[in-house]
Amino acid sequence: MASPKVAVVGAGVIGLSTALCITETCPSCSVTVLSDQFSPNTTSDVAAGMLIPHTYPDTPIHRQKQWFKETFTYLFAISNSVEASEAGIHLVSGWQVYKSTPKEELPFWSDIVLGFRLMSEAELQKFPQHRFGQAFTTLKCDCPPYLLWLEKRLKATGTQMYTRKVADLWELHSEYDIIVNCTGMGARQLVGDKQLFPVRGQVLKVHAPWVKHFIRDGDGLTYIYPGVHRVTLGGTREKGSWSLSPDAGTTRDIFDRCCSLEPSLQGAQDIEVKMGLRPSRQCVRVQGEVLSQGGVKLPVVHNYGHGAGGFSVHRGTANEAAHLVGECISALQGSLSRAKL
Amino acid sequence: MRVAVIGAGVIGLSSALCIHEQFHGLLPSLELEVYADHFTPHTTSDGAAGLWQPYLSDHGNLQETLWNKETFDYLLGHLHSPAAKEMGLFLISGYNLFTEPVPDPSWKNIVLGFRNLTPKELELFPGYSYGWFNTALMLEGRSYLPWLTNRLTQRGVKFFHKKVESFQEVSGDGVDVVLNCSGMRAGDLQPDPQLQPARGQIIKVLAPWVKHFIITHDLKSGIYTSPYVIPGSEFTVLGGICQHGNWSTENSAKDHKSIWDSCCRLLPALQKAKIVGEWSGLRPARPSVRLERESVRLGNLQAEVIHNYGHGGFGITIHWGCATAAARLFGSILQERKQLATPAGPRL
Repeated sequence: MASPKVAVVGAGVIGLSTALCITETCPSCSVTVLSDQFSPNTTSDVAAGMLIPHTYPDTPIHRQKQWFKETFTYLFAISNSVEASEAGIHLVSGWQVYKSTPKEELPFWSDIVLGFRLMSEAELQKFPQHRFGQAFTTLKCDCPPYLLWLEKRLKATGTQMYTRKVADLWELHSEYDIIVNCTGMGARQLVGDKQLFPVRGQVLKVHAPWVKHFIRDGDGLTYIYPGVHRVTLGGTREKGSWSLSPDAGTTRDIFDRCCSLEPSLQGAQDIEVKMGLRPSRQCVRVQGEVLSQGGVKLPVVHNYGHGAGGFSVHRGTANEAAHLVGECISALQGSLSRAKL
Repeated sequence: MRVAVIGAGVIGLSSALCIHEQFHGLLPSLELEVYADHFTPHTTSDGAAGLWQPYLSDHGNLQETLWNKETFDYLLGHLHSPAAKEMGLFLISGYNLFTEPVPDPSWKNIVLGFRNLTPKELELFPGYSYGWFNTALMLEGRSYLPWLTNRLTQRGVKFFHKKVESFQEVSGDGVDVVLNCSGMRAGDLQPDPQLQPARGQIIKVLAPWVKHFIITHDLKSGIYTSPYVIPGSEFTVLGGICQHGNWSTENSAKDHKSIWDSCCRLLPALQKAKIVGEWSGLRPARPSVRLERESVRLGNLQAEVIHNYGHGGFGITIHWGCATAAARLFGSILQERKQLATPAGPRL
């Protein structure tokens, strides 16, 4: 197989980063990205893009840690380079505060982020309702810039990108040798995965350029994440809700909760409300599968179900998916040689 | 009781406010007047980035460390007030970088979360092998000075746009106390060979992805002679110039290149930052701050002068501690004149 044709379905952070990894590990591959949505209309565009991992209940911790470490290392290098501003990658310091001391004082990722330590009494004075906190420095991927930067890198490798709604993976079998399924929430319909469920998030994106730190309540519901131009205020975690309409009461509630953590946000301007459905699953599905229909085989690599932690592990899962694509190619080449005998 | 304040930078305005807040209630006849040749946004305080950070060492000057602490605690107390945004006050964290280990600074317990940098953090800054991380405050002059001006105006303080050439000029008219906050030009009012300019130049850029201050240090060549990056609320300040004895407020092309090249080496992404301005200013440098009373005989009149100048590159950092100290000196003047005890009595 001279030039395996790979179709990556999905153009959020997972689809684009997976496509890029494939071009890096398999330069002879011809990669095409197909998606019904591109930036700025993907779920990734709503997310703040903070590198603070979400813990998946059914994925082994060492694997999550490896994914996070690879992602952090990759982005750390970009943040330190001349491309940082174009890619929307920047360092940000701040605090995760808890109203009561958590069971786990040191999360699994505490040695991967920078300068992790427990907050001092003096620092906690800023948060009168909270009794415990962690201070650290991490990275943030601003979207759309990060997605646009990935698209630019992909175009430079000759990758084609098309707006196309794929209703069935089998539509693609005559044009492509391998399909990579990075459809996020769309996988529920596309491959019938009932283990995938939405967790609705509503956020506000505001203009408050004096806010230089992130602040996150350990309960995960209230957070303030300063991006390049806007600060993301969150949020909600509504399991099972499919609604992409803004809720005015929720907007008020998010604003109030964030102002209670950071009073200066009262002066925030240009409030935009955004909604997204976190494509949630007990474990991220990074897995190869060979579909079979009427004697025809279609190799598929799945990379979806990142829920609230997509940005934190995207590069790690993209590397793993690209590796699985490599295995598919070897298997295909193997069966081609066998066919020739 | 008339008080003339000379200078409308952060020192003049804050001292005036502190005195008015403390004594106007006790002394309703108190009249404050501010005289200056430059007002915001044209003062030295307006050009400063506004980062609260003293020099590395206080040279045993414990009094200045206490004034710094008083200022930090005062500002921290205002952080959650509705006025914070209008004051230009917000928290900021960042890095101090060195090429060798150094002793901890006098202010390590004043700021929040002071710690040494980890090896991984130092990877961000090739060429630097040691450093600190801490959370401090920004107080942007371009917001703070107008805020102080508004507070003073509300209190009935009058402002006069005038270059004062002598103490006599302002004290002649029945002014009892002169508050000398003339910064760099204090020497014009009374010779002071210890007061020298420490010229700085800065480039203002748009680099909103930078969320931390980064101050590098070259211990041999002195404070602020090594690149620094300070992100404000509207633009980021790039600097690294501190020239003793240089009185020029013209931007120098050579200094521009030095700042630009060294800051871009420090943070490569700055190469893409858009330049939106440039400014040069004179830090009013002195071995120690001059904060003291002096009785000055002017003709057949005796006036009390409270000097409050020579804050070098740490004016914003120390301003409130100095303002309250100046207010205490003012209080002692009032005590001596028994102004506080008998407001209806004859004026001396």
